[in-house]
Amino acid sequence: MKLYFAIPAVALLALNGFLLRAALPEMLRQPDTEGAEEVYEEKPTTSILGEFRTSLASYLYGRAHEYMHGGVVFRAATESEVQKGKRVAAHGDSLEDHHGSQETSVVPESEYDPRSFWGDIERGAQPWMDIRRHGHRDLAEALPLFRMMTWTDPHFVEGYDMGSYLVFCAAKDRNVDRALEFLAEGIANNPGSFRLQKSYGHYLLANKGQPEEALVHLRKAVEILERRAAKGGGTDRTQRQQLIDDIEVSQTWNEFIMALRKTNRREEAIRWSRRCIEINAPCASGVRTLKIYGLPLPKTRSL
Amino acid sequence: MTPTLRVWRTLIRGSFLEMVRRKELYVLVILTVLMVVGAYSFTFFGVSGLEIFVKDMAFTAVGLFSTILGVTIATRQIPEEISRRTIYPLLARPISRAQLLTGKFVASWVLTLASFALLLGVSLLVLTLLRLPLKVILIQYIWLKAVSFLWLSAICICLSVYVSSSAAFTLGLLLALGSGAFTRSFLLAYGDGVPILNWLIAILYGFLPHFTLFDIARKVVYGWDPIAWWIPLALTVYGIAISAFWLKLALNRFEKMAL
Repeated sequence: MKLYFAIPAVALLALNGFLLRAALPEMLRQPDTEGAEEVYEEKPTTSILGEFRTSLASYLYGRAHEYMHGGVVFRAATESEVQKGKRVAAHGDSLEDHHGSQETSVVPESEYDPRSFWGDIERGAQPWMDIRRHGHRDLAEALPLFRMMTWTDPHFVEGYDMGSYLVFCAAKDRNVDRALEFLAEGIANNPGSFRLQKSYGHYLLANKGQPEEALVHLRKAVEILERRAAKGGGTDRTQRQQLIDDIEVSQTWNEFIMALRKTNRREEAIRWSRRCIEINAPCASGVRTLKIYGLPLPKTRSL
Repeated sequence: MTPTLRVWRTLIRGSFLEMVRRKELYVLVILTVLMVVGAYSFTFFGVSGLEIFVKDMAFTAVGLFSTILGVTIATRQIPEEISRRTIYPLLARPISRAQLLTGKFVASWVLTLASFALLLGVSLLVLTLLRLPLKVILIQYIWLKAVSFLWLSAICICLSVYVSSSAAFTLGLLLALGSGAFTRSFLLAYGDGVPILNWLIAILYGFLPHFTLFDIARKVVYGWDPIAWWIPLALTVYGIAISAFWLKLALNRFEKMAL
């Protein structure tokens, strides 16, 4: 009778070992691009384990959002909801950028709920708050989840990016060094990620007052973006992902040009400002830089 | 003791022995402990502050496994009596079909509640050993779970007299675990609604599956204050009414069923 359990158990272990053995070399390889899609798609076995890691990390990421909001579940607002001008987030704090886009609560506010008293019951029985006036719990509570998700999947860029931000915000005295440490780990695991390079450069520039050191990372971030643009990458994304990506790209260019200005690299700042306007118009920092230096703006279709 | 109560007591005892014989509950208790301890094991690797995560795992396990057990218990009550032909000696006694059906419903509810109590007890013990306290809202959680099992037992018994046992199990599980998704989809599709139709929607909405509406586990996990008194009251009235509706529907079919 025991054999009925033992045989499948041994078979499962053997399969597990085979999968790990087959997938491990790719698992340990660093991706050249943002995230791990490239590595995980090399072999079916890698794909299976990679999908599992990514799914688990994504699950934890979702839970982390819930933690920050005390169990209240939010979702991205639909286009029509945004157009109607209702039910969208107004965080009023710096977390707004990290929410990526406008969000609304899954359970609507009473004035927009067609279910009458059923809606009142759900709003009372389930964790709920008006998104327009919502706050965040102690951000430190969500930090362990970010540690777990980046252990689970070291190529989960969002985990490092958002996690470092929470490390920074959760501490009373704004723990930049710990945030940089976390980001450095992320960069070591994902050297092809422009977002992590950009965030590292941002903390050095804005919080540590080290524009020279920041420039090194921001330059790397822009180089990654330029390589990606040359390859024509970053297009196979959903509308929401694209929106978040556009914001990140725009911020990267802005920070880079700002760092060039702060380090008095006039010629380089002008050259990159023109490049930014050319490929990423409207490029606020590029336009501002050219104005500061009293130079005419290049003619582009968007300007 | 009235004859109906005697019938119910006998049926509860029989169903309990059947559940013990099948050993399903033991497996789920072990799984619950593994889930909670597994979640806590992350702290050994240096990730401190995972209290909410551990509580979340504990209540997820309790909610999920008690639902699976509830559906399993309720959907096999009537079909197994028929397939084993034990329904004939039962009905040969002075027991009406209504008494048998309601007896099976009560047995399902009591056993699901007992399983839930055991799973919750084990989880609370583990959480206490891990020094993770919970708030008073836990009492409301237990009460509302008990009411939700009324709905679960009633709808599963109703399904089991209309479709086969395995189909009833699948449907019951889908309705119970997917009830939150139905609500979300409805809200997304219907939007703000049409004011003139919304009163009709509010009435019809009550007949949709609302198992997750009774589940305030997330509030327990995140340490919210107790909910307003009228909500458990309203949900209790609703739970009893909708369970009676599904039982009546089941009885209509069961009384006309050719055995």
